[in-house]
Amino acid sequence: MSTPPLEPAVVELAGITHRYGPTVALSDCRLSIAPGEVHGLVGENGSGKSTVVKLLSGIMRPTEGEVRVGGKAVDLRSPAAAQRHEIVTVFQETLVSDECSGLDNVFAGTDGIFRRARSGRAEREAAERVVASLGASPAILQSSPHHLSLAERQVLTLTRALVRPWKLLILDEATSALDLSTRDRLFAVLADHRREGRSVLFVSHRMDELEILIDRATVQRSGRTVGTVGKDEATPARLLSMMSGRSDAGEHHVRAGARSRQAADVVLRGVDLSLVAQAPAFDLDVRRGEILGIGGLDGQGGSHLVEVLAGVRPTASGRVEVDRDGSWTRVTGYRQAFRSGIAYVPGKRQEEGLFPSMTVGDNLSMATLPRHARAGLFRSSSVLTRVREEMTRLGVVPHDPSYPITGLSGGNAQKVLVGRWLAAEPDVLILNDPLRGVDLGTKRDFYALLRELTEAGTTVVMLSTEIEELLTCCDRVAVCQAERVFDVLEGEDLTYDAVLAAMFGRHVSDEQSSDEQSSDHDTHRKVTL
Amino acid sequence: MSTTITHGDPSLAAASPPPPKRRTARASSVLVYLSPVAMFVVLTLTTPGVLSTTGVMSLLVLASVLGLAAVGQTWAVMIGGIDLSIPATIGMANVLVTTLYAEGWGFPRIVLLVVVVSLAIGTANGLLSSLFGLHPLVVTLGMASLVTGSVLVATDGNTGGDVPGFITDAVSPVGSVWGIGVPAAVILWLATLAVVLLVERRTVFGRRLYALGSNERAARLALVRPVVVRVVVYSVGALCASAAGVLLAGFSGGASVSIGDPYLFSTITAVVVGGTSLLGGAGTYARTVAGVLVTTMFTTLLVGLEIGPNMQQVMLGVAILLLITVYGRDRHVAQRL
Repeated sequence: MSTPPLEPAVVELAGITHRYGPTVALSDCRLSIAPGEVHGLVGENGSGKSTVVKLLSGIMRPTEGEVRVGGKAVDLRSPAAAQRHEIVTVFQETLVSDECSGLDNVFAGTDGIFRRARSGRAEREAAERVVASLGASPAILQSSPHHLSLAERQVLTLTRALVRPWKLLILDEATSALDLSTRDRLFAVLADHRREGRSVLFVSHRMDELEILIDRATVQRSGRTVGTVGKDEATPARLLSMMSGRSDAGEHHVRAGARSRQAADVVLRGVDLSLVAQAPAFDLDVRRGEILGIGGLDGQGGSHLVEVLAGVRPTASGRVEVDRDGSWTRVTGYRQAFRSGIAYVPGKRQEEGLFPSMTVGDNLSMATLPRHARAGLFRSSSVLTRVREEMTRLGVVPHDPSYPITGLSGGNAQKVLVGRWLAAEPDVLILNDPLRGVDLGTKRDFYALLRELTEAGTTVVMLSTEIEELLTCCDRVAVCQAERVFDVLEGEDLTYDAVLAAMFGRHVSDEQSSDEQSSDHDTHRKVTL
Repeated sequence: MSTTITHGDPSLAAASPPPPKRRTARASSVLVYLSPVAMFVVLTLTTPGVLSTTGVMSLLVLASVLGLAAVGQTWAVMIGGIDLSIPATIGMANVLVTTLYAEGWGFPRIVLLVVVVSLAIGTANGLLSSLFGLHPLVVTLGMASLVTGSVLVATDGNTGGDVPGFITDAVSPVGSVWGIGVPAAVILWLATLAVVLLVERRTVFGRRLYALGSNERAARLALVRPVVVRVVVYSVGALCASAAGVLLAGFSGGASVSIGDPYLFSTITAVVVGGTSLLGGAGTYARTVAGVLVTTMFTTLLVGLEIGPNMQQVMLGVAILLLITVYGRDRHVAQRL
């Protein structure tokens, strides 16, 4: 699978293992970047890509293994150390400070403790050259980035990287903020640098970009390096099959197909929905009593979509409507959505969900307390009965409402959070990635619970970044890509490969996917281009 | 068994996995409520005069004024804020009562005006610290300056005046209400205490107050309106501070716009001594009451030992720093990480 580099590697990861506590993020990772090549790094969420980028940028140090620069083992203890080894990184998030000018942003961190009064003429000219080569106006260097567009801000961070001396440029999804013409300019600039022997590590979810740009690609799956392939082999089909590795498509297919719902009975819908400014508009129907999965890679709009459906986040354009006794009511905010029968379980448990100083019972009853109250005074016995019911249904351990919430495991805390909204008996339950970082036992309990809820007539919308999870519990899956719903898969079309392909903006051809379901895997899968 | 913030029955915990640092929290809360008792014993040993009805009542009257002033501080801290406008509000109420009474206003009319002004102060504090995302430290500091300045402008700096006799009676250690030998100030404080604890423990609002202090973002998503909670918290605080200001008028020495100044330090001391977390989301006014009793007796002790006001200040400072080292290193900090 691997083609050896022709010359000694610019940067090499040798047998790198990285752990976060008990979690192994990266296991025996091997990556070798040759001089003058653009090296693609691809994989699903959780495949270890970002860990690789963080290790090379000096943000984290590996638990085991060696990082070699020019054949010598080095310790990239800090971003400054990475830079001394001429490794520069541009991230997806446009990390620009609004507090100083574009030029100061470009040269941030280059000066000593005593800040220079004014950037020298040489600095200014260097920055202007880079900005111009990317097709942007040098004026963006003068003003505060406050007024700049996302693409212009990203040009600043690219300039920040390119004005420094570098041998390896890491682009971590850095192109997603760029418009097409700037992106093409960047690719042309990179081609020039490449001819001068500089290398690029290109992390992207966009197959088309990978196809244009890369010389070789390394594929990561579940923290392991699957292999490195040369340009000829690095077709989208080949890369997707290396990323997926195995598939349970057949098994899920049966259940998903059997549970298809009537298309007519829609309970919640998005009409001409646009998630962020300038993102393409789409329609989405949520059918009564189904479990609709929302899939997609991180940052591709899935989280925005569930927030918009729940009224937590305003739509950029278009509208969300909920069926209230036969008429469509527009969703304008999450309080109003709640009154219309929509409950939203937020994603980041610690930041958006739990009250760390309070008990399990208080955490669980918070949203529904007024239902147990008269004139603002609630009846403890009534609240406690309800809390205990939900704790029993969800199997919260320990079964003690007065227990501090911080004493629970992640899975149990998540159950309490879901219980808070189940206690409201919603028509539509929207869950933002409820099972991230939750143990397997809790996951199984959840799948059963969701089934039980839908059988009682509740509609469930659930975001998950794990394909297997979507296949296990959803009737249909809407896959988000580039801030829109790229495809809605159901029945026979709902397969591992189809979801994976859609995450990368591809359609698996129908005849091919049905063949695949009966055969065993790790063979090539055909992908329509 | 209720779902109050205080931690649960240890017998239930026996069957459960080991909870984080629960025992220490329990132990420190027992200490908080025992400390006024211990302090009282020390006080009676060093200052024998305290052990009499009048002695106890004069302590309780002093405690009532501080206790009322500290209601707002406690709740502000519990929602993760602070209220620096309490001294100015005390001064405002104090000056309004004395000057307007001297000008012949009826007492109910004065009370109505003080209530309206207090609600305006509280509402402004609540709105400003919610809507513009300003830190309550800055908002209430600005408000303090605004209130004090306005009072001085309105009265032309002439803040002396007259006091209704029943206010003087209310703070007299030998005063009584309906034949019960307890001064009215103390009764007022006990009534306030009962209402405040009821609100904390049994109302939807109380639960939302804790939720806001614990995690604002999560509270919003759990349908709590932070603006409403803040406005109510700062308004209740201003009303209670005004009550303290009116009671202070009953002590001799005349009115002053700066009469509330010592209460900035002492209300915060009472909250901290009570062990309410400055990070918000936990604590209770009951703890502050323990803190109020301890600080009041500590000050009396220093006076009894004939330690001058300057040295008293030093001792109070040392005491508060010691206490913060003991339980200011919050268990919540550790739990939140």
